[in-house]
Amino acid sequence: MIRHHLGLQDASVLATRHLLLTRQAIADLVDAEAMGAIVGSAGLGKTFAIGHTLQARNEPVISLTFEARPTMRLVADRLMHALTGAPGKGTRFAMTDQLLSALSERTRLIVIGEAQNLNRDCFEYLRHLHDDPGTRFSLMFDGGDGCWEILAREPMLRSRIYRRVAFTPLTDADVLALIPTYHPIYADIDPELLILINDKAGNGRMRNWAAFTATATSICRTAGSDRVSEAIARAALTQLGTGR
Amino acid sequence: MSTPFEVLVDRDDDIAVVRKLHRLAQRARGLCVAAVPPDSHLSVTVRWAILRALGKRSHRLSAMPQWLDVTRWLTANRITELVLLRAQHLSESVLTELAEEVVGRVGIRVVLVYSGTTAAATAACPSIDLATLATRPRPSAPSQRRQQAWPAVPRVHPLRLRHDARAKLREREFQEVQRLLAAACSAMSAWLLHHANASSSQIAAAHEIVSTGLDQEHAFIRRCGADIAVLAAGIRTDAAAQLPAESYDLNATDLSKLHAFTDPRAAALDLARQLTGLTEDLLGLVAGDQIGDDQILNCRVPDEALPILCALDRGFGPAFDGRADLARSKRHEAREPATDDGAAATLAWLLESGRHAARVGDLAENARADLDELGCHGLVVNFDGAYRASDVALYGAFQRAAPTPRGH
Repeated sequence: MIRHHLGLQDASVLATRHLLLTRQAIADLVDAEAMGAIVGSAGLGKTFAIGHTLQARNEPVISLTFEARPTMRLVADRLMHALTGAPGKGTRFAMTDQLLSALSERTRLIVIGEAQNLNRDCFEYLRHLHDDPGTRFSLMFDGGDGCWEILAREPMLRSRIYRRVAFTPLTDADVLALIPTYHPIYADIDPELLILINDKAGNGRMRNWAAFTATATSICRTAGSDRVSEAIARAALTQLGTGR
Repeated sequence: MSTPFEVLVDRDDDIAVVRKLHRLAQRARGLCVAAVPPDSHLSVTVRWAILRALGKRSHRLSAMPQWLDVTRWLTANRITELVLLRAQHLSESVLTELAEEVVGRVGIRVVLVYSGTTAAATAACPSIDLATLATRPRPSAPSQRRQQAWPAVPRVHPLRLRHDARAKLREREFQEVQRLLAAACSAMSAWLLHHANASSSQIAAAHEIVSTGLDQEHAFIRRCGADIAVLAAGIRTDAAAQLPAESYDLNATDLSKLHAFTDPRAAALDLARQLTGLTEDLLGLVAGDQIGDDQILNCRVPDEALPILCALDRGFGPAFDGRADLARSKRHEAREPATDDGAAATLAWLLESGRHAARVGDLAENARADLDELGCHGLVVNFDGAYRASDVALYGAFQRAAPTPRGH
């Protein structure tokens, strides 16, 4: 079961437009063994949407996240380790050869998190593995700010992106339609209060909404309330440092 | 070699172009498509990319791949046109090596596929578009090498063959026959030396392998060579060879595994093992000249595996990897025959040196009968109460120079 941000309890999975698009994109990528990208700035729920989708699917998935600027060798090594459980051996060409063979064995999905950290060479390397006629995998980049710019700048990458989902913040209309079902504390909430919370804390970002909800839930518990009132909302905003 | 390459510019590096080229390579004879990895400023990376496109795999690689390996396998697979995708990753020095080794040395046409800008080194090279590349006529693959027919040799006793062939064949033919005879003899001798406790049937099996030839003459010369080794070792061979009767049909997985080898001798050993069912020990006896254009030891090799045979060196030396490197120069040391020894041991003693003699009175009757029979072939002389090997026999056993000048 995928975990909500901050381990938020009792929260439901919102069927946002982006989550539904992500689900469809992953299905299409797997079917076509193609490359795709889920992009958008931090906190919009990309990784959650991918994780939620993948837990309902059966194909083997390899998820790799590169925090710092990785080299081609590191990408190859991490991928080999994920595929075989052992680090890559030998020269880079030997490791590439082993990777190509391992990636030819069965259909699988590879998800590269924080893809904006990859440089051009790393993208090229993954593309090289994917282009090989023998390999059988779909490749999805999950990237924050700058990821799409890197992909779009290179025609050889952009032309290979079969599905792209660009996450954007929830609009006010989205918030009014979806957030009341997000958590029990929002049942019957005043729409104006919801908009206030979104303006002050949520900003249409699911990560912010999770942080606010976790804080408000705690205050509700202390106050013996099961719903967010304006007072509870303002207290939560104060705790989050966004209450002015 | 001012314009060694053709250049195809695929400005957007379109996946459709890549796929089309790979599909083309599957159906067009003589075309190989290899993708250059991003780190291809190193020559070895490019060499390996080409080898991989030909089915080689790194776990079957015994040493760093050299251009010789690349050109050997390109030639063996009858590739006449090599397309390198993402040529923008190739350094100037690698381009130079490609021009020298692939274009210059083996005459294979190379098409460099660039996305974005092309290299300065290829500015003068003619360009080609995808449609032209896909549809242009391709030279038919060179016809299969045909094994040179062996000359007809006289059907004489093995110990006479060298002598009589020398008298009857042209010098060039004789030299070839003599080399083959010596190689077969040497292979059999070495095997006997390394298998001192071999059973009669094992010896017969080894003898049968060494005696296998691509045609009647080839087989006869080889059989004589094997016989000479057996005679020189003083061994009687009356057992029947027990060789596997069934050969194995290779499937696509087997073929992929075979093509993974970069070393053709290792690939051929695996192929031979599966086709013939023989042990590695016996396969170590197989020489390059026993490998036909489409067969190993009379077992038909499937078309898909023929490049492995093409890549092999076809000398008289061991064809395969494995336990082939027996000590070929060593010989048996015969001992002086005892009274109850048969003709085989006595002949071995006589053949070891022209100075050895066996007194007639010391030998059993049946041994004397056999040696007298050899005397009828001019191989043993009975002089002054003792048997000696004739000059012809000593020459035939590679123990002495030619007894008479050529032409006599």
